[in-house]
Order: sequence, then C-alpha cells, then structure tokens
Amino acid sequence: MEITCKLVVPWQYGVHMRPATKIVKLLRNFDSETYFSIHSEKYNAKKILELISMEAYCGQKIKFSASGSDAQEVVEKLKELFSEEDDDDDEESQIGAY
Amino acid sequence: MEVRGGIAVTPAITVGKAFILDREQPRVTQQFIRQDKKTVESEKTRYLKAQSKAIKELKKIEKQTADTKDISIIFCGHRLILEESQQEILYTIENNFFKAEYAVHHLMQSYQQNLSSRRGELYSRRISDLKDIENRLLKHLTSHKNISYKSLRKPVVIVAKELTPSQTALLPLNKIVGIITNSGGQTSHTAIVARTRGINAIVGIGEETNNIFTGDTVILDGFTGKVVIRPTKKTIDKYKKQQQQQKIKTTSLQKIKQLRSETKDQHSISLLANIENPFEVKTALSQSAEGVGLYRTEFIYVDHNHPDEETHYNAYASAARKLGNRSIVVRTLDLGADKDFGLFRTVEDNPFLGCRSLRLCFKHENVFRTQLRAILRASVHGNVAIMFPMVSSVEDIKKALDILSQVKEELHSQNIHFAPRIPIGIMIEIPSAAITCDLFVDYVDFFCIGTNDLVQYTLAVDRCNENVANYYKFAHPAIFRLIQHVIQVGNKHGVRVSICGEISKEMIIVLIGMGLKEFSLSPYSILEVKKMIRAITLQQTQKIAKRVLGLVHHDDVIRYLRKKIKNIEKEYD
Repeated sequence: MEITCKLVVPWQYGVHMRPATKIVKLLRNFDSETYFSIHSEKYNAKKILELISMEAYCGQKIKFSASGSDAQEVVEKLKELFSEEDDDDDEESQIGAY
Repeated sequence: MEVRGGIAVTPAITVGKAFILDREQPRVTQQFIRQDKKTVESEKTRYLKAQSKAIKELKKIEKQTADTKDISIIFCGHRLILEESQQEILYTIENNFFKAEYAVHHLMQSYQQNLSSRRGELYSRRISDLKDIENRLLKHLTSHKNISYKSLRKPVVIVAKELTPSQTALLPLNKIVGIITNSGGQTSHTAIVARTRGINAIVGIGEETNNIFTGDTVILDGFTGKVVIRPTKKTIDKYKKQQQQQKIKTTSLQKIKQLRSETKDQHSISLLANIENPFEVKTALSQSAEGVGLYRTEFIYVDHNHPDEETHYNAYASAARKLGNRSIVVRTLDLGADKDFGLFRTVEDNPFLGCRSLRLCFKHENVFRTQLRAILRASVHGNVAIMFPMVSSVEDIKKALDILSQVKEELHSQNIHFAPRIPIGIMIEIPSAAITCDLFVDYVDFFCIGTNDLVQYTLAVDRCNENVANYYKFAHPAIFRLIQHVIQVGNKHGVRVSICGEISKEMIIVLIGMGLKEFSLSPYSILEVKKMIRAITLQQTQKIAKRVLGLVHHDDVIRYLRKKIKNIEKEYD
C-alpha cells in the first residue's frame, strides 16, 4: 500500500540537523519505504544525509510517500512531527534567514 | 623558559602542568593504499575502529547534554551521519583504494560542497556540522592515543585552540586549574566558561600554544595576561610567592564586605556589578555589589541558538528575583561585531562601524520585540531598568522608545503585567552621543558611559587589533573631556550618570573626582575598589581629577596616577 501526502516545512532553517534527526529517528521505527520529493527529486526519508541535502525552505510544500504495511501510521506520525511546536525553530523564524 | 602574552580572564595566579587538548588537524591529502586484499581489509578495520570510537564519544556527549534536548539531538544527528556514511566509505576504500582518512574526507567534502554551492545562510550551520563530524572521525583515525582525563592524577592546565561546545561539555572541571587558548577574547566561549566557574584562563595567545607540550609546567598570570612556559625554578618561586600574597589580600578584602562604599569623608559611591548570566547575581552579591549595573543579555546566545521569549524571560526574572529590591539594568542585545556568536554572520568590512547592537535589533525587529516583551514581563519581579546600547542620535532613542511603547501596548492588550514605571537609560559609547547628550535628557532617566567602545570610537582604534593596541589609551584628554561633559550635562538635568566597562582603579579615582557616583564593575573588582574609595576623601579625588585634566600626555597621566595610588595604598595597607 502506498500513501502520499503533502507537508509544509515548518522550520525556518529548512530541514536542518535537528528536525532531520527527529525525522530519521521516527521513521526508522517503521518498515515502510519512505520518500520525500521536491519537484522531481526524490530523497530517502530515512537517510539523514539526504534530508539535510534537500532544498526545502520554510513554508515549502513537499511530497511524502510511504509504502508498506504500516504506511498509514507513518504518514500520521510524520504529520504530527511537522506540526509540532519547536521552540527553538519558532524563534529562528523570527530572526529569519537571509 | 618563555613568556607569552594573552588576554587575562580571571584575576589569579596559577602554576600547573599543561595538558594539550587538541592540535590543528593535519590536512588530508589524496592518499591511496596498496591494492591487495590484506591491506584493504586492515584499512577497513582501521576505519571501523575509529568510527566506533567516534560513535561512542558522541553517545557520551548525548548523555551529558541530555538536560538540554536541543543540543543533545544535534549530537544524535552527528551519530546517525557517522553510521549512515559507513557503507559508502567502506566502498571507496575497497574499490577506489582510498586511504581511510581520504575516504572520510572525500565523502564529507562532497556533501559540504553540495551544500555550500547553494546561496543563503540556510546551509552554513549544516556545513559546520558536517565539518565537525569529519574532524571527529579524522581525530580518531590519526591520533595515536586518545585523550583520557581518567589518567590525570593531578589537576591540569588545559591547552587548546579554542574550546568547542562539545569539548566544553566534556571538561571534568574538578581536574582543571587553568585554561590556555590560541584564539578568543573576553567574550569567547572559553572565557565565559572560565569566568563563570572561577577557573584561571588566558585566551588569545596565538599560535604559541603549539609550543606547549603535555607535561610542561606553565604559569598563568591572570593579572597581566602573561603565560610563562617551562619556567625556571626561580620564576616558579616568584609566582608562588605572589600567589601566597594574593591569598592574603583576598582574605583581607573579605573584611571590607560588610562596610559601606563611601569615601573617607562619607560620600557614598555606588558599586554595582556587570553580569552575563543570572547565576552570576550570587557572585555579585557575595562581593557586596549594590545591584547589577549592566546585564549583558547577549550572552544568552552562547547557550541558546535563538532564545525564545520564555528563555529571555526566565533569565531576567531569575536575576531580578535574586536581587530583591536592588536594581538591575538590563541592556538590550549588544550583538554583532566581536559578539556575533556565528548567528547573524553578517560579513562586513568594518563590523564595529556596521550593523551591530541596537542597529541589528532594528534590522531584526522581531528579535528586539521578543526581548523587550521578556524584560517587561520580568519587571514585576524586581527593580528592573532597561538600557539601550549603541545610541548615536536622538532618532535612535526615539525609535527604540517607540518600539518599546508598542510592545507595552501589546502586553497591556493581552492583560500581561509589567512594572508601571521602568527607568530607561542609554549607553554613551559613541562620541556623537557624548557630545550631544544634552539632547537626550528629555527621553531618558540615566546615562551609562561605556568606556571600551567610547575609547575605540573616539580614538579610531579597533580594540581587537593588536597592531594599534598602543593607540588604545583611556587616559587620552579627549576621553576625559567627553566624560566630563556627560557628567556635567547629567548633573544639570537630573539624569543619573554611571560608568561600565573594564576600567582601572586609578581611573575610578579620577572619575569620582570628576563627579561620578556610580560604577558598574566586574564582580571580582568590587571589593578592591571599595577598599580604595574608603581610603580617600572626595576632596583628594577632585584635586587629582583637576590635575589629570590639565595633563597632555597619556604617559604623564599614568605616571602621576600610579604615584598617587601608591601613596593611598600605603595608607590602607
């Protein structure tokens, strides 16, 4: 079963080390194969080096797809992570990247 | 024996054995291994061993920083990258016959280059993370033996390039009597750690640290910034004697604690403390500070990348509460120039004349507003005043006050309380502000003269540039005249005037004579200054000030003051 969803990057500095680590730590608990795609580029969502290399800016919509028996659950958990209030990153958004 | 100069952080003498923490990483060159199975296997094993050591080390840091999740998770990310890159590194060793160091460097560089080819500051932190990971692996690959504090039986003097946050996290503070670093100034990470823990440190001695080896005896003279490497027995004895005298002096100063800060003829002089962290309030009070005259809030950025309102608020509220009725002057963020902390990374040709301090706050108004909200909220917990740094014109202060009143309005509409009457002050540290300070009197309650920057801007001397260090002269007639003008204007219009900055006790005498009654000092200088003030009459200081204002040459001023102080010291010793 493959499930896809659209997510908005909430972190002002994009998917940097901290959120990337959280994503990988989360996804590794699941069997599904997981990918992010931006434009036509595909990134393995369980690989931190790929995540921090994504050109994903704050506010950007990215596609996420999970395929496997636990795909539904993966998508839900990841959505939670993307809507989590991150104090540190919230503050970063006030400083702004330039 | 060799003597080198650096920047002193803590006034103390230390004699100890050196312990080298790190050396510059050797540059990794394109190196290949022999193309046979045995060599390949042993190279792979060598890499795997280094990798597992690095992972173990990171796990340890993760555990030690577990209290601060923000930091701990970064090291977890580093560990994931180390694990994830394993396959590719093994592949290049096996198929391209790269030496392990080169294989690591090659892979990490390719990611770094990929990121740095993009525009924007978005990726600079990721790049430095990758560099940190690469260096950690390389360290374990190249070093012959690992640093182990466990083997230390006696406390040591740590010698390092500059302590990184991860090194700092691992320091066993009970086994350290001193720190020496290549780089860094008063505001470097090392200096802050040392100051807050009361460890003697000399920072910024340059490449000379390469000349120190583990086991060497070193002397740290925290009064002059001198580092003596491999001293002779005679020198050690001399310093040990000085150490002894210092101890006696410190004990004798303890008696002053309960006494009032006033001249011999009972004119009180307020001695306040400069602090950088709320927990320094305790130190300040222990040294009999009457309050905090300068809270350098930008140091909050040392521990928090981008502190939110709660982080600001907690710090200010905690400091204010600890001080009770005593006043606390919270200076708004003085970031930029030498205190960039790698966050704003604005590259400028002349950072000290650039977008720093209040200007940076205007540029990033949200950061400024967040801080103002936090200070206002904290104001209900004590006697809080707000001070704006780097004011150069009336427009600056009007703009700052305008934002402040908007923030107040906002809090008001949200039913959030703050003290009804919060004194407002400005730093007088730009000559234009000093010359036209009469134009500010309607807007503010107090002036605080920031001597470090005032000297730098008046004399056009970069205070971080050692090539012009001999031009940096506090006792320049221009400085005295500017300060005198500010004091006179303040007195005339009922605006309180104080001084903060690292000034010598000789100068304090002159400034008292010129009419100053309030000084904000580093906590550990307070007792000594108090002792001196108690030994002199106001009239005496006025005479000294008059004489000094008539002198032309900086050296004459210094010579005259030294003589005078010596006489006074004779009286109170």
